[in-house]
Amino acid sequence: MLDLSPIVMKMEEQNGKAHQHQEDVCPGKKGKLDFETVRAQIAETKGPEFWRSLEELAGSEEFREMMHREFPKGASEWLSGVSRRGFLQLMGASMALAGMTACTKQPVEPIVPYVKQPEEIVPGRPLFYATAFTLGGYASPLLVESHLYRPTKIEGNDKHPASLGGTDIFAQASILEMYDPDRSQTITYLGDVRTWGDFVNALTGPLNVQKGLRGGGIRILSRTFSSPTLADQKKNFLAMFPEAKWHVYEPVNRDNVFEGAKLAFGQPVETRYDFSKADVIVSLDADFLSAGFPGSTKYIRDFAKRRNPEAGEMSRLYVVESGMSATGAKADHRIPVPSSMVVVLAQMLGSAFGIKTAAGAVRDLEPFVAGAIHDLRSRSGASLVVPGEHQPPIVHALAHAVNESLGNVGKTVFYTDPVDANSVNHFDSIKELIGDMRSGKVDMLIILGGNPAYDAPADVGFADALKSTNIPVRIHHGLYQDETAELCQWHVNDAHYLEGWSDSRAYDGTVSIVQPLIAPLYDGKSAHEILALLSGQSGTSGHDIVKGYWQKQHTADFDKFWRKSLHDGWIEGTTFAPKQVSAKSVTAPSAAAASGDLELNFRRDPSIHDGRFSNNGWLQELPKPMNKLTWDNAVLISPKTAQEKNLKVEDVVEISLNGKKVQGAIWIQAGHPDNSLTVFLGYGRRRAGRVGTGVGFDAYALRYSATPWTATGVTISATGATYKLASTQGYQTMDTGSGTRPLVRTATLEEYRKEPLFAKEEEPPKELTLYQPYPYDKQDYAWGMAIDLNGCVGCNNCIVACQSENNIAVVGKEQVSLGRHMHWIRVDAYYQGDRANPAAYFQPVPCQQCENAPCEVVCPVGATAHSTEGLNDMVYNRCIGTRYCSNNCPYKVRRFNFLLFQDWETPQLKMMRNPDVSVRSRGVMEKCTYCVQRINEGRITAEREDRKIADGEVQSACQQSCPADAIVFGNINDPNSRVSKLKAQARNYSLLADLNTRPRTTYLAEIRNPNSEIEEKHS
Amino acid sequence: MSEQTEQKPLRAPVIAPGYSFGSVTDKISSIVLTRPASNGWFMGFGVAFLLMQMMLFAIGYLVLKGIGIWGDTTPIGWGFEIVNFVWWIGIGHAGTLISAILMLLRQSWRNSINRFAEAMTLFAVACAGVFPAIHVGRPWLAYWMFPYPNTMSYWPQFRSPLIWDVFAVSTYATISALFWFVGLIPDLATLRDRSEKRPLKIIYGMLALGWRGSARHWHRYETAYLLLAGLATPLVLSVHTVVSFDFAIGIVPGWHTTIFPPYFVAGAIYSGFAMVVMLCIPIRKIYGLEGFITETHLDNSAKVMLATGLIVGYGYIVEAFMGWYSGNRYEEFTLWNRLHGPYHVLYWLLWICNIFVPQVLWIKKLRTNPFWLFIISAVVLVGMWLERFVIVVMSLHRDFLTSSWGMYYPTKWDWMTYIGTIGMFLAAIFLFVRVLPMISIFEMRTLLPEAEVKE
Amino acid sequence: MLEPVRESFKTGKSLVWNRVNDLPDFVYFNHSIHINKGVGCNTCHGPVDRMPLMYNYASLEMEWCLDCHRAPEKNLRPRDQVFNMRYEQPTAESPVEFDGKKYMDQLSLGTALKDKYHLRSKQDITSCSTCHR
Repeated sequence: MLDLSPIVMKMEEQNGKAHQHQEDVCPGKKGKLDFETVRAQIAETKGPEFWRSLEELAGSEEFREMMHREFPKGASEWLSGVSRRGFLQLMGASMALAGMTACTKQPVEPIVPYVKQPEEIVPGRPLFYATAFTLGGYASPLLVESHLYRPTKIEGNDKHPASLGGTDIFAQASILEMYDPDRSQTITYLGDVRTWGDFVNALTGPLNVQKGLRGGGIRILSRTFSSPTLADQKKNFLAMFPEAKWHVYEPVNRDNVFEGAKLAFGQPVETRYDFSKADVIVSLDADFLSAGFPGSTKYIRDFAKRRNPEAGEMSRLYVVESGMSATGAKADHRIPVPSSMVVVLAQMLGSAFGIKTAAGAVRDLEPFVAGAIHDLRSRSGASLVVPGEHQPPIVHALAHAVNESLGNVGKTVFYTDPVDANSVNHFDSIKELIGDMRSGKVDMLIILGGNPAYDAPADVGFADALKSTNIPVRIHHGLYQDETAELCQWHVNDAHYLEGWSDSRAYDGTVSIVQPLIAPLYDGKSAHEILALLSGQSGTSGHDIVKGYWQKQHTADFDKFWRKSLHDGWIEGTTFAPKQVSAKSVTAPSAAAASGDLELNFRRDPSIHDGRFSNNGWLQELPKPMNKLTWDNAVLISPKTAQEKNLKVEDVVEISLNGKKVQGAIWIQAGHPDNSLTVFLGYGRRRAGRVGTGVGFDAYALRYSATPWTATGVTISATGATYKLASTQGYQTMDTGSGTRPLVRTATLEEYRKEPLFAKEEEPPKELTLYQPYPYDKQDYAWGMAIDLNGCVGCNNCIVACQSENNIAVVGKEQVSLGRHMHWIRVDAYYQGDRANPAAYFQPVPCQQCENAPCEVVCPVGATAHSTEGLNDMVYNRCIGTRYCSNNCPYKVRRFNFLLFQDWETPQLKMMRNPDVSVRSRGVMEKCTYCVQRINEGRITAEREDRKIADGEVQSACQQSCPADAIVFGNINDPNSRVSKLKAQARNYSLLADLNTRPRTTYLAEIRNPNSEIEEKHS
Repeated sequence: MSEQTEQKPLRAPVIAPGYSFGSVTDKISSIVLTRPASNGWFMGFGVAFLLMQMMLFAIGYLVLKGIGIWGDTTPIGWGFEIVNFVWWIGIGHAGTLISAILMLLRQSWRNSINRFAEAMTLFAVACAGVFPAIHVGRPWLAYWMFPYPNTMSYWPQFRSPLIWDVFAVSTYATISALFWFVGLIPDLATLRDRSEKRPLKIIYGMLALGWRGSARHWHRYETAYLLLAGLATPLVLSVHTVVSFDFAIGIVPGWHTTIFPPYFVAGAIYSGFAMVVMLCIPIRKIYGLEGFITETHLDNSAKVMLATGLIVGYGYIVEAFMGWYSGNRYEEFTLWNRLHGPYHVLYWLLWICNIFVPQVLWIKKLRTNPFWLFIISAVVLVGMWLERFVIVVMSLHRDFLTSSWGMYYPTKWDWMTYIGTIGMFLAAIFLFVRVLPMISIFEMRTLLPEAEVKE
Repeated sequence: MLEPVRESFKTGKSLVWNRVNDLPDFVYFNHSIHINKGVGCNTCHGPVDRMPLMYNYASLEMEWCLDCHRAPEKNLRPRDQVFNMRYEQPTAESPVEFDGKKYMDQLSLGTALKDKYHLRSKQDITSCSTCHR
């Protein structure tokens, strides 16, 4: 890994040719990036409005001329006849005789080699560069795989303390965002294409005027950011325009956290937890195991470590929550309560630890709370109370107080400066901005990222203000021509984080340099460059700005420092040191205890967050952890309440709140608190792109700035209509009409101690097969996998990682609802027991790689056969698609291309694909291969060095991305490999062992650690 | 023709009295040669032909788009296509059974129905043959299922029942076709001699392969026919046995059972006879062949149906019993799912159609009553189709992991293809009755009193 | 004749070659490992040094690949000979020296190289996933 900066420049020439290499890899990626075709594509697709402008211009001379000016020098070469012919040939081939490769002559494939090959490039061998993905200001440190300057796969930075190799789904899927053909591709003025030059000129006038006014008319609205460079630029900018104002708004913000901190300590501080040291954890509606919770990647790892009965004392998790979350699923004790009740529980806790507070009390919660209090006391100093972001400040304040009185501060809880570079109250901030807009104070509004016209609270009416008050200069800077761009004259296309330089802080404050992996596909400009332009240094590149800033911070031996920082992926000594803060006595006002009426909870969507990812097919099709819904949000309701209101799944209801109305389909969510509804934000986009536009309903329409997370007094009424919801798991329990099936095996800690082998079951003797068993134990390697169900928190990371690594197609809602989704690994979620508050379990299911694989004996053409190392190989080009193997697969992990699911045309997507994995065509069966491409690469490397493959040298994509380290892959012939050790554990069992399939993938049974005092037991 | 010696007319006559060599020949050949095609024929053929076109269209679209246009999905990888395939193959059993086995058993009553039973068999097998070819994801590569020398130095996977299918079905089709054609030769010669029009003479002449009816011809004919009968007999049993392996070999609960081969064969004969009866009742009416296809035939066929129906019933009961008795939780659930699951109505309908209704055949009146027999046969055919649906779809849709359960909904393309094959079948039948003697002339003649050879 | 090459070097504009040895897209081939295991260039590419116009020497059909994967000893040569375009397989007249030992015939040499270079078993390298993923 090395500094990219010189390369970035080089890249421009090389992009085109770099693209050549993977021709000998997969038809999906043949032919070169060809902008003629991009435009053709654009013209065909019934895309959102904004394509039109390009479409009209497509023919015109100046546009072509502009393209040449605006795109890398390579462009002209990309348009060469050869490549286009090659490309069309491919398209012809792929459409006419989809996958007939077996008996057709190869089309002539030209080779376009480097003239001067860069020394670090070996075609076919990927390079990895460290960078970081930022969400809500928090960086996830990454290593990105790059094939000839094309980023193809995102992986966690295993050296980085905040990642340890793990990532979250948003980081994993961001690669697709980068290649998204719907991203805005040019600067536009009132919808017409403009150049950066035009933009600069257009701005000079107004800026000069503002200089006179000391920037009085300038307003900047940005998202939360933690970039030190940007913060510095902001400082300079405000120094230059003292009267200008900088506002921050993000719909899923941390206002409550900071307000809570202010309440407790009089200052906004970041709270950092150490779950590895916590024996007892009480979550007050905090979903700290879900992507989007700052530091979740690290927290999951630490939490999972403490859930291993073999390694030290198992921690115990109490969860109070207002919805059914993954964290709740992992709890040893969980109670669902309406959001407004959580504060009451917080008070019960608080008063128990001598905090003066209006002591609420609810009888039926007593046993739970008593148990929690008892455990917390007995573990003071090694316990933890975690408040949820969407809980009111008071809950946070109480949590802080309790943690302090338990002496957890400095042990399991740490306070630091906020990672957020300017932690202001977002709702106040945007309200103030709108106030200024309406009172005509604003002459120049620059929206840096964000989409307030869509996601601002319903009552502040941002979109309306933007429309009605005609601010002379309105600039939108973003990745998409979205709802906000529509209302601004200027739109400047943003550079994706994989395209432009920046920096940002991880949850612990550690700074990562965000270095680009590819030259901007559409010559996007980063926020840094915009700000530079505003502060009169137009033309300085993002690279110079970021590097420049750090040069100032770190003068001594800068080059070495810079290279190291880029190489490692973070900057030494930027981690925030814990900070001494003392809690003021919280005199908490008696919070409004749960009134009887129905409440409505707004939550960030587990898959598409606040809506910014709604054009990301991978995320849209990612089953939501608890109900496996895809492509939609729904109105989640508890079984009991649904019965009372006699609502059924897929009934369309109208929710109204203070006159505003929204319609959505009902989903009955086991474990959801009664008398409460939950809706996910981020859907119902009008201008998201081909993927996200018009998907689901827009819950922001009911979201008021006063009640951003929980609103009471909603009314709900069935409209009589129904709406199809696409869930990937229709049946979410192991109970059947004739008994319960032992799919996820589980026991309490005591039970496990008493009977460690509870999960084992009689396995049929090896000889019990017609065919001669193959002596796999004689081989150097026998690949196997162990999945620790205790560790798995259902975060879905493995699914996205697999999708990215293995070029898995997105099929769309219609096909998902038919059960034709293509995920090679799925995470089954099962509910057991009382549906009002069930125990919930996750079970990731990849191909089990059975030694006696039922799929193999039935394939008429031998398209699936066993390798000597025990892999159940699937040969796509041999498959004729009888689907017999899938019928005969007891685990149903095989996926069939019922239609032409892969996108064979879009050039950007071709660049994204992993050149080491075939792109499957229509009519072909596919499935998990244990990432055989990685095994082969590892083997070749090892054999060239004349050695064995070391344990952990080859990691499957799912294993690599798993933040919980719950998936372990390796050589089971090596008794010392991690996987062998895990399989040797008592908890180890294989799924459906009685079928004598002899799966290579086995599971470690799930152990829960409930408090025996408490009556209500799991399982 | 020693056959006749032990054939004393103690049993009910299998041919109405008053017929002579000449009249038999006239009667049958006239249908082909002199009788003008009625409007009814044209209408019937037209409709059937259109349905067949619909099937071709559906298949065309399938090849363009992919299996996704059907209702198939994960976990239900096989839907209508396999249901129909097995159904048709089953129907395609009666012909050869009647011709070969009954012949070997010297059941002379077969003579009047074997001809179009065989024809029906061929057409049914043809209909069945449509599906294996198109049900694969990449039909243009289906030829990989045949062992042919190739540059991949890679063979088909001979452990797969699908490969066995390829051989079983193709062999069966070939033998049945040969058997049928050999049987036709003497009659083709008759048609050649009797047709006035030159083109007809030429066509029938060529088909007759220069048959002159000499003693040697007859001798060779008898040997060949007997040999083919011998060859065909095991096939009748083997084909559906092999087809049943497609399921019995699988581990899917509801498939993985050893009883499949016998009860598939029984079921096949069951549906086969039902189809024969369903066809011959209208035909004998329309073409006034009550003299040749007498109530005896209906009665006997009905008896065969009753018998095979009981075997099938036994199969169901054993299946259900073993489901419970096995103590295997997945088998148990499959039974439960059939009785109470989302498709339970179809399962009960299956019992009604295949087991309960046909019991009325114990009553001789109904066995010999064309109308009721026709209805019952129709019911049985529906029932047999349901049986295949229950086996294929209902077993697949809920197997081992509850997380992967699914539902199957056939699409319009599934229906178009299925109904299309019925059209194809009927169209073929219509043509057959027009251009070939649907009843074996010479074999009928052997049934005449005159034919009895006095020692 | 080499003008285009010089031209490309001057202008920095890539030459566009036509692929002669072109494998289907679903076949994964790695040169380095073959060279490392002692498979000579011209074993597959033929006498490239004596080709006035480049042509496809081997059929590159699956059969052809398997022939070698099933019996690599037929084609192996010492690593230092891999790039030698004039290399001849050992015969009684012209033996090949390897590890200070003279080999009179290919089979004995090939077998020696096979375990010297730790070639994996025939079953291993004829597994589907060796070439198809």
